[in-house]
Amino acid sequence: MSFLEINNLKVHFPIRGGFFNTIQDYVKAVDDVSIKIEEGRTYGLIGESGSGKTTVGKAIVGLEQPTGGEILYYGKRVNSKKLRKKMDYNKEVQMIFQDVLSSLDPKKRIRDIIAEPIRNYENLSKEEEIKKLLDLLNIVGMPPDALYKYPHEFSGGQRQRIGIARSVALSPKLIVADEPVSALDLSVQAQILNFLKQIQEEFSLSYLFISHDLGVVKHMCDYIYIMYRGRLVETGTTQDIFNNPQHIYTKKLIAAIPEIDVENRDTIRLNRMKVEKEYAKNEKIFYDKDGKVFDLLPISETHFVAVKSKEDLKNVENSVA
Amino acid sequence: MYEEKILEIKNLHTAFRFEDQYYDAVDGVSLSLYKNELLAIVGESGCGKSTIANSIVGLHDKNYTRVSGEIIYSDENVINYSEDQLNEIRGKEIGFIFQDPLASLNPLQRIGMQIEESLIYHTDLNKNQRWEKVISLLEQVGIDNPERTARQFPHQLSGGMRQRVLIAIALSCKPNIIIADEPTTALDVTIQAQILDLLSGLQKEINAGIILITHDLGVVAQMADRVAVMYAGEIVELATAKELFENPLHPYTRSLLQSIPQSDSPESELHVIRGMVPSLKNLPRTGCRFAPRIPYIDEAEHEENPVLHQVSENHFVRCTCWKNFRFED
Amino acid sequence: MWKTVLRRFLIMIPQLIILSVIVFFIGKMMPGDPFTGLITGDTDPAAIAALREKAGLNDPWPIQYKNWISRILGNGDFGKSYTYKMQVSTLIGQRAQNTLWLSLLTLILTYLIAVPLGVYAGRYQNSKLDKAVIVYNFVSYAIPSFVLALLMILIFGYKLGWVPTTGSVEIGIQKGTAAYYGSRFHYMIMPAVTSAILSTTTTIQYLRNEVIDAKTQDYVKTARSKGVPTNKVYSHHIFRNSLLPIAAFFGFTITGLLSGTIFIETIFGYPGMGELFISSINSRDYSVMNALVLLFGVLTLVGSLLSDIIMSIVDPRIRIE
Repeated sequence: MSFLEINNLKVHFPIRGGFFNTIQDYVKAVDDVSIKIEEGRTYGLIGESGSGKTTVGKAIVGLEQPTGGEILYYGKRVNSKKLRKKMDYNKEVQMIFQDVLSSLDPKKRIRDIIAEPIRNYENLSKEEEIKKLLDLLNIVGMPPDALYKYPHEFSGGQRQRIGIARSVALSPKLIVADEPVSALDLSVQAQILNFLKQIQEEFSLSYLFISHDLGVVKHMCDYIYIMYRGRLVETGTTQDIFNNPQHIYTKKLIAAIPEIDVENRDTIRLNRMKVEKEYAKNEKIFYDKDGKVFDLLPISETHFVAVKSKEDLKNVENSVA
Repeated sequence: MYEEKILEIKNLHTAFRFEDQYYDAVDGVSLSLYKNELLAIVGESGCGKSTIANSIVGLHDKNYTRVSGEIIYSDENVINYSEDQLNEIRGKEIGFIFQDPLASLNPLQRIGMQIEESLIYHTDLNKNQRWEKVISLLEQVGIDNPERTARQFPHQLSGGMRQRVLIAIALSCKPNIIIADEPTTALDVTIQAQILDLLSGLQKEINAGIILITHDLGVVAQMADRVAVMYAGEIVELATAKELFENPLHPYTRSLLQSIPQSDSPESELHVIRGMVPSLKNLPRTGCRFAPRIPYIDEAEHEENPVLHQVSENHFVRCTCWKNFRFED
Repeated sequence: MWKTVLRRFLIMIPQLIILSVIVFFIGKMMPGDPFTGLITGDTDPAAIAALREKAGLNDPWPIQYKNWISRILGNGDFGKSYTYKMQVSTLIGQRAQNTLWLSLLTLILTYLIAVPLGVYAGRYQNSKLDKAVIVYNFVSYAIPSFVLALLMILIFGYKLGWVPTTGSVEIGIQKGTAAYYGSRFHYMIMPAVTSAILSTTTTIQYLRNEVIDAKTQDYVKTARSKGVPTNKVYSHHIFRNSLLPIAAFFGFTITGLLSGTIFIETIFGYPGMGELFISSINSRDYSVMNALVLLFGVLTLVGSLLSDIIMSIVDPRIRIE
């Protein structure tokens, strides 16, 4: 059972223009996006820059006001600040950001940074607080003396761990992680990803991984949502998406991954060219005349594709085969 | 097997000044580039890979940098060339493509003007001829409406278009060498694929040698003919791409490959290298620089002064520790 | 582009109306009216009342405002000055001329000194010249304007006797002759130099910082990698981009030419707008004060309009297509 349901989320930003600077149109940054989150599972939200994936994440934690749709937390609406407060929602749903350094106050010690959410929600004595902070540091694998240092004294990977310590301080149910490792070097990235998996088991956490890196998402996620121009183009289990991609955008995305495969690089390149051609040829089936992505249609219990009609999907397969 | 050698770097040291002390960011690198070859230099941030690129044509701020060694381009050591001498090579013989396509273009100048600029200093073309050349270059890098694009400003283009413009600038004088410093890091994966395909297509057209600097091993596997893996200012492994990915030898290369999250079994843990990359100031200047990251390997396995050993025709590895390297349980 | 300018211009109209209403009420709030000065021991109050009635001072304020503003717009009629016994518009016209010439000379001197110093200091950062410029900047920033002005008068006016210490032209010279203009220039030199020294500080500081900043920009690296000679890199890429913040203020600088500098004009006894403003306050010459406040306000608004237009010309990113 899902504990968090995002139904038909819309976030539209007005475009002003014309002589009197009136609202001319809206940028549909997020348009009819629905996501379900179950306990202890990891979800991926993939898209290129400008696809609206970060806006979805922000709307989920309440940093962006939705224009439409609803966010249900255990079946109750949490669309407003007041409702979120009543449900302790902001305690249970945390976010970690790509650029950790700018999300940590440079003038505060690590102690105060990690303790901030605790002080907001829990009434602990000084001793209890210190004990809890040391536990948290231990979980993220940092030495106790880190408490009295400032953010700039740490490396990128360590700062990301501090960010994680802060977000798990209140034992949340869901962490929305917006590109948590894309600024990190490979070896540090591996460390953080392993660590996120490890604490997932300890806390039975759920993650929503917002990323453009398909390798990371493939490694981490059980279920994947793919976004393009503010809408979902395909959703499915990691196997559905990677072994049986249906939407041309998904195919293009997967074909573009630079695989560690020197032997077959020519085949990979040819395949990429083929997919590009297919994309140009079949655009009509997957986007309406205004370039808008169609609504999702189910093609199996777990797998959904945004396409005009399911028959068209068969034609696509035939045209390629 | 290779064509003529077009660039040779011998024992390059590039040092940066901090508080009146110089520290080598590139510490004794020797490399050659051949015609028509794509040589990838790969490593994590701070390993010195971009520093090599900048040292080749002296793009560093000379007040804070000290460069020594030899850089042989067309039989001449250009390392001590003056700015004026270097300007004869820059843009004309060696073209550059940088990481951030928006920041790398002057926000106040039209695209056409920015491409034209290298033609002004390196060719005898008149204004009309230069304009025609600009248009044909934009066509060559796959821009649909070159006349329009030439009159636009950088902020009016998409990221992929801007990177195409940077490539057009690098190509403008048909250079013998193109140095691409993380050319696709700032781009989306689908755009990255297009730019990389464009780059390798163009290489065949103009018969240039390309030095591709990247941290992305996937890009290396798809693009490179030869690969130099760098760690802490040194090349630790140098091999053809095929050889490197099939038979990686140096512990650092092997560890990196194990930490890529691409495996088909999502349950597996990624490999984590112990410790941290030392900062430039605290870098040990003797012994195997990777030794502190694999403390469970006996000290005796390392060389005292590790050098690159040739293990097969196209495969070089630094230090001897690879022979008995194993992953920690 | 023209649309933007026109829209920007239209926005200014309500601003101007609000400004004029405020100035009108400030005038109304001043004690007394144009007839107060006529009152003597044996004035018939009824006669004064009749005069007031005739002048429209008993009308409701919207009508009074309408009359006031239409006189200004119609004939530039701001009323008469008490102290100078002449039309305010004529008086301001004379003073504005004096100020304009002084400010223009100041402006030219400022840029002649500041632009090369700022650019060279930035280009050759940490050089001897740069260090000298920094010292110069500290001194000119720290020294109060009246102290500098008095020092200048003491040294160049009294000790060396090179320039006159007060006034705008030698008394008794025939207007329009070459000697007349020569004398005016002679009188302007010292106030202009003094005020230029004071105003170079910000320009130098801005330019130096901008040049240092621009040097490390990626597009400068691109230019160098193209083989552009160093001097051309400076003139084509660094210089123009560094002038942006100065261009942003240039509109204000132009309109500032007319408002004059209170300190400099007062200390040097130079009969300009600043000096007129101070003396009108001291002598409670309300009609002059009122007109000046309105004028300064209009100049500020026009200055910001000009700045916006200049910015949209020099920075393509601001242009609205």
